[in-house]
Amino acid sequence: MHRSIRSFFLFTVVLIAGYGVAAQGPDGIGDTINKTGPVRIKIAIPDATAVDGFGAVARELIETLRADLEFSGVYDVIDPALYWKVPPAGGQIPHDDWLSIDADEVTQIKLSNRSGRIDVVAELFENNSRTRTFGKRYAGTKELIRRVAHMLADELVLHATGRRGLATTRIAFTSKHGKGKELFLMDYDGYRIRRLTTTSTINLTPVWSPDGSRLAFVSWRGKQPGIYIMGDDGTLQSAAAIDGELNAAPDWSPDGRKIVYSSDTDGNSDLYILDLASGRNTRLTRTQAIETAPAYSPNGREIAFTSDRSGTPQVYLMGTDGLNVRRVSSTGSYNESPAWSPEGDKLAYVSRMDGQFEILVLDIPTGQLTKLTKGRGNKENPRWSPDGRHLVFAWNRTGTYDIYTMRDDGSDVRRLTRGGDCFTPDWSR
Amino acid sequence: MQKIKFLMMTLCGAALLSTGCVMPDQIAQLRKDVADVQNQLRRVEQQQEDSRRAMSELRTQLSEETGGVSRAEFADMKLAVDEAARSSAIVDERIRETNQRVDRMSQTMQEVRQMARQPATGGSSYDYAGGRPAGAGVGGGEPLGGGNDRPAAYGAGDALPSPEALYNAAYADYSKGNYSLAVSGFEEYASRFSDSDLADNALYWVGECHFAQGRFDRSVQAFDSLLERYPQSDRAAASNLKKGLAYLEQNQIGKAIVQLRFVLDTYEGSDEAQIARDKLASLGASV
Amino acid sequence: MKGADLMRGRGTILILIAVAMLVGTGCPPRTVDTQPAADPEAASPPDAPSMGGGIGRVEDSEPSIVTESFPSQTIESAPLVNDSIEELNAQGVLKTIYFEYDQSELDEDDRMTIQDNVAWLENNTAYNVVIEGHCDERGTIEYNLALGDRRAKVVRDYMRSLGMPDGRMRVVTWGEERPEIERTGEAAWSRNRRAEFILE
Repeated sequence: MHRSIRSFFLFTVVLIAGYGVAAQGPDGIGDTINKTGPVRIKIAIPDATAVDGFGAVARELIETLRADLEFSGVYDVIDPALYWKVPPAGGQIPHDDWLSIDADEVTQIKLSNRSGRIDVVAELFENNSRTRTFGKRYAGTKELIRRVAHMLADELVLHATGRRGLATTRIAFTSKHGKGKELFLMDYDGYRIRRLTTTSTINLTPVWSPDGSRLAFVSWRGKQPGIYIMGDDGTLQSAAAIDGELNAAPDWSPDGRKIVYSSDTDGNSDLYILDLASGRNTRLTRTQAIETAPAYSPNGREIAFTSDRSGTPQVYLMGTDGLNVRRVSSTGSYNESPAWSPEGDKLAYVSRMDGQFEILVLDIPTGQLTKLTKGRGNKENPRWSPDGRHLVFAWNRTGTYDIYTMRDDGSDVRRLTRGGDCFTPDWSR
Repeated sequence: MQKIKFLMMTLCGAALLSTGCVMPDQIAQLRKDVADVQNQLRRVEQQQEDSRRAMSELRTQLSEETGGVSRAEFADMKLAVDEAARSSAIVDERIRETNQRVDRMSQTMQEVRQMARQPATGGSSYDYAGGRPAGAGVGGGEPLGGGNDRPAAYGAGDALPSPEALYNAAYADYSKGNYSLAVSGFEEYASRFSDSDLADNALYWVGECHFAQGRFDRSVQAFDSLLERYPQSDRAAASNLKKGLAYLEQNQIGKAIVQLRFVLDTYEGSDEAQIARDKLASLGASV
Repeated sequence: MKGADLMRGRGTILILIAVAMLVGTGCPPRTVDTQPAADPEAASPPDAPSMGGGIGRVEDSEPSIVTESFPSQTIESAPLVNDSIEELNAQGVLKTIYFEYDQSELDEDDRMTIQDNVAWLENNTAYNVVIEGHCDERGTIEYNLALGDRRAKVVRDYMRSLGMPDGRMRVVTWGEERPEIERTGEAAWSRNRRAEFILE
């Protein structure tokens, strides 16, 4: 049903605006459109031509690319089942045939063997104007073919919109491994899972630095839970947080220079900001209650956090100076884990409803609160994709926790991990 | 406390029902209800004050008269006092929240009456992006604050946005980093709804926006105008502190120290005073 | 708190006496390792003349009495003590207490249990204790960390009021990460909301 609405809309807009420029729909078109997303470019991605022995790799590349572009919200990939209608044209691209199955654009991808490495040449053509609008060559080992597909997908999105796509982003999370919970990394689509730590103890809540080069997380590798920072160069350092028997829940400032976190050094969990360069800590809250789960706003001037100062955990906002504290959540007895959308106009958090956690999103301009999740089990730790169109979260739908993604309206739920007891995801920017 | 809850609920229900059209006698009833709740609150606050005093006496006793009491008895008493202190802090916070809600509710009734009397005229100068008025759902009221205690749908279809929608849109501009837009939104709110419960907050945000842009003189001006127009505002302490922080940003250390000391003396015991104390200490200034 | 100070003071004296006795009776060297108070200097009466603060000089002038007096005995019994800490923990000489849902209050049973634990620790001054705060899986991970911390600290504060010195107690929260029973349902949850006492 979605598809038919979308097609209808696309049709009208293409008539008005012409294709190609309509990658990002005009703002404020109306509710129907907001649900189906902006206008998409219809693209055909036929199979790649590959030298002998590279057939499987070629298929993986093409399938990954199709999935990436479909997920991007920028492209609408024409169903490959229709491609038989376009007969091979012997070197020439049959633009009219592609147009006959509604393809605005078409790719041509060739794989060849270059002394054991794979050489990928990717080109993009506009069928109406019959012109080549994009071309790029990639080389690498077979194992990196998904990465090549992701890079190509992001380039195509950049080409269409001027903004980089999500396909090369990664999700950090924790998963049970032996006696502990270790840090893991995977591509945004759930493939290429890599383990980052081997500690046999508990590691939790990894968060990406804004530039994607570091992960801050909580670990019990010392005698007490403390905050550590792992760099992509393999370095590991303990954050210079103040003393305390519990230092936890780190989040980066948008400029990557500070970390807001909770510490119990004064008897109960309060919030502090650590300036990484100077090692100076500034205290933000001073209650007898628990304050935790702080989240920096994208403008770097506010902190969303959880406090049980009124008796139950609730979501609050305050300035980074600790002033102007306001309560956000007003329904329910347990609201936690706030997360700002990258634009700063939405706040997601979890709320206990009928005995299980659901993910709610508050739209700041309208004050409207929407429940995104449904179904059995707890949905926890919502975090936004860098483009703000998706959320990643942990859900124990199957009895154990796995990592899932969904659209910002709750649709298109995808399961990324399978049965590893996975928690606390964070999406790289 | 239970009784208050019940009253609040009836009140909320009545307020919600009144969203569509408000009859004068309903307003009169609502006013009476609000006054009742306020009286009840005052009584609870008094009780809270009494129990606080009792607790601190108990504390003193505990520290002075340990003779004749067994160690376990002492520990049990201390535990009870600690637990009572924590519950007491929770009750304090709840009273504060309830007070805010009641204030906002009586404020809203005033607004509704005003609007009923004089329909909106003239256009909004603020490029109002929010479009729709806020639903009566959660998160209404103070940006993300409040709750569903504020009938929100008035002003729908009018040329002017509802006060709440205007405020929320301005705040959304702030959180997106569109500080100039946010300033004009909040300034418009503060001038058009100067009697509103949130007018002082709007001025506070004007100060914050200038601060965010590094325009510290104008930031100080905004906080000054808040303090001048709403000296009793619950944002007064924060505004005075922000002035001190703005001086600091401008490297006017002497002025900043005077201002921070003023906060420390005037708002003793508040969070703002604590922050001022920390700042003074980090400046190496005596407290 | 005058009373608490008084009791802490008494606790320290108790340790000093106990340590002195242990050194005298040839207790294994583990005591020496973990208890700085077992240093000959510290074991001397408080009003004894100071040794001048030079630790190096102390070592030079007074070679370790303990190892000299009991050379082979000590070496043999050292591992026994390490084992017995684990054994004691496995035996559960210190009893776990359990909390109500989302709560950190101690009921009468909890308080009696803690009093028993403190009594045991006062009779066994060779051991320190780690108070571990745990939660059931129903809260969020981050809030549960803080709640486990609060539970452990309520217990520690109570033990402090009972006279247990701060130096012998340490607090760790595990949030919902280390359940006693890995199942869902109130039967498991009620066992997972707990404070454990681990000797170290």
